[in-house]
Amino acid sequence: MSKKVLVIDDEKDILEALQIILETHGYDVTTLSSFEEAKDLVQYKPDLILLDFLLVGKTGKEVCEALKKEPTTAHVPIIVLSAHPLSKLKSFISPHDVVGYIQKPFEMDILLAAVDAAVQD
Amino acid sequence: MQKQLQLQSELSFMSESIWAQPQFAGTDHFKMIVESATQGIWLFDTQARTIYANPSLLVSIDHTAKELHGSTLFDFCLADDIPFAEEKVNQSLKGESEKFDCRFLTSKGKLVWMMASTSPLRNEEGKIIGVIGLFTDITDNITEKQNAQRERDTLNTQLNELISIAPIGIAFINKDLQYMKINKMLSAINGLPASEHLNKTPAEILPQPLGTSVTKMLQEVLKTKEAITFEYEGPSSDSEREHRWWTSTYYPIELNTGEYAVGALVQDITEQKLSERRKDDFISMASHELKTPVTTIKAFTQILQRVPNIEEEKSKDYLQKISSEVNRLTKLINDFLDISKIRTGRLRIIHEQFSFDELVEECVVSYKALFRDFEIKVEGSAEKDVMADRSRIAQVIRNLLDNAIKYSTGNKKIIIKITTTSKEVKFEVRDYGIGIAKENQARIFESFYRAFESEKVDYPGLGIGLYIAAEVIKAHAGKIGVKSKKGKGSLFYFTIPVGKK
Repeated sequence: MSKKVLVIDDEKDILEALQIILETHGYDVTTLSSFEEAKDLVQYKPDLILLDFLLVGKTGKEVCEALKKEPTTAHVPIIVLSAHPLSKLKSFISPHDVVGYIQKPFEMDILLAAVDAAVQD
Repeated sequence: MQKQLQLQSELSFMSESIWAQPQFAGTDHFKMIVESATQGIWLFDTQARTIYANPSLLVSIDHTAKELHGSTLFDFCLADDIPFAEEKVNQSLKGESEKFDCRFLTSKGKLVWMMASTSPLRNEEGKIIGVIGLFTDITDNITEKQNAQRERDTLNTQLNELISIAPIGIAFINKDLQYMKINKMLSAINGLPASEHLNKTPAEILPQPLGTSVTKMLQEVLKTKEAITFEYEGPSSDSEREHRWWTSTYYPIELNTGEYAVGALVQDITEQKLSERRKDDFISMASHELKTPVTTIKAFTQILQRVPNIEEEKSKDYLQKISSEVNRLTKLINDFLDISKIRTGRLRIIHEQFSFDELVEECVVSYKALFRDFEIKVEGSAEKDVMADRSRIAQVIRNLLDNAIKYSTGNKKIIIKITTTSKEVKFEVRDYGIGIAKENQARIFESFYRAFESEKVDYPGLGIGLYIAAEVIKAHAGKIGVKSKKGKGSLFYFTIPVGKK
């Protein structure tokens, strides 16, 4: 059975590109353009969350904290995807909460390698 | 005794012939000294009447020997100085040597300052028979001193005034670390009136741990005689909630006594810090904004390169996405260039004559095509040409339309209205979106940093469109503004003068 990846990003085009890339590589992908839409995370049960770490609106930090609080998603690995440099996100991200960081614009190979590694763990 | 008196009284007549008298040959040497002395020499009898005055004195006070003959010192000196001079002369008549200043008015009305030293004039038996007075003209010295003093006083007053109103905090701290002087600015920074600082130490005045750090630094300056500069931050003295930054320099001052004191210069650098921070924030947000379209372009390029068997329809769709992101990127870059132009005063307006209605129509057509789900309506018309920068005005119209679309949630209706007077053309865009809170309305045009700050929490993006629009309209001597209620949509408008054809 293919692994489930939940992608959260507010840019619809990027969401679509990520979906195409991940589906082409055999993942079962669900996309959300805002965390507010993510009411049914419990039923979805993803194996991995690919999260655009927004610093505006509902921030990546809040999303991470909410995901970790929820028992059904607490164990799900999170990979942060962001155009902000890691140095800027460091103060928001706890290494316990996320398994990886991918800088935007991303290389397809690096993204896939990170996703593969995270779901196998 | 008789002989000496004789000599003195003879001298007082001052005629050249006297000196030629052979009987005075023995006193030639004495005569020469007295007559050629640069100091004034004035002899008085016990009634203070002139016995003799030498040429120097006569020149200094500008009177003739005849005028002096039989008169007293007090007949010539300023009335104000008489009591004092009288007292001194009387003292000398009693056997004392005295020194005093005495002023004279010359026949031409010039004031002459003399330094007088008087001593008793005794006969051979030692009896006091008068007073011998030496007078030095110190007018030049006095004037110089007075001028110098006046200059010093003026300079001091100006310096004190300057220190008092200086926009930086200044204090003088003595070797016991007590405030000896403090200006208004530093009093305000410390949040206490100047008077409450005096004779107190920074440890008593400043909050901890700052008080301790400052004390240590002041001790260090006094010990090493070298200046120290340091930066610190904390809540403002006016408001606990306001965070501020300062830079302080403490430098050693050597006093006349050889002891050292410390001069303190304290500058509030909050604006500088905030401006640096805003710039950093802006650069970081700008690079984030640039990366977003690049991410999409790169992702779809890789998909087109690497994903096998993509349907032609889909390929076209992906290429369209790449193309529109390239446009978005181009607009961002142009906006940044415009900001740079505005901030360095290089925004150029090229006036040309064009139909305002046609320009609006051109802009609206492209928006109608791009945003088919929006109802975009144009009401009214200018029906005249204007003299303005066509492409810049188009940019303003597009920026206002971009915002109207960006902040329209739910009700996708946009109404454009054109009105005109003989002098100007007015353009309005009405949307029914989220609106802008009253407190943010003035700030959205102010500067792109501000606009960015106010939108930081609610919306992504840089909020630079309105800043550019406002600057373009300003350069056209027009007006730009907004009427809005939070949750009820916004009405943005601008006017530009019709201009001379």
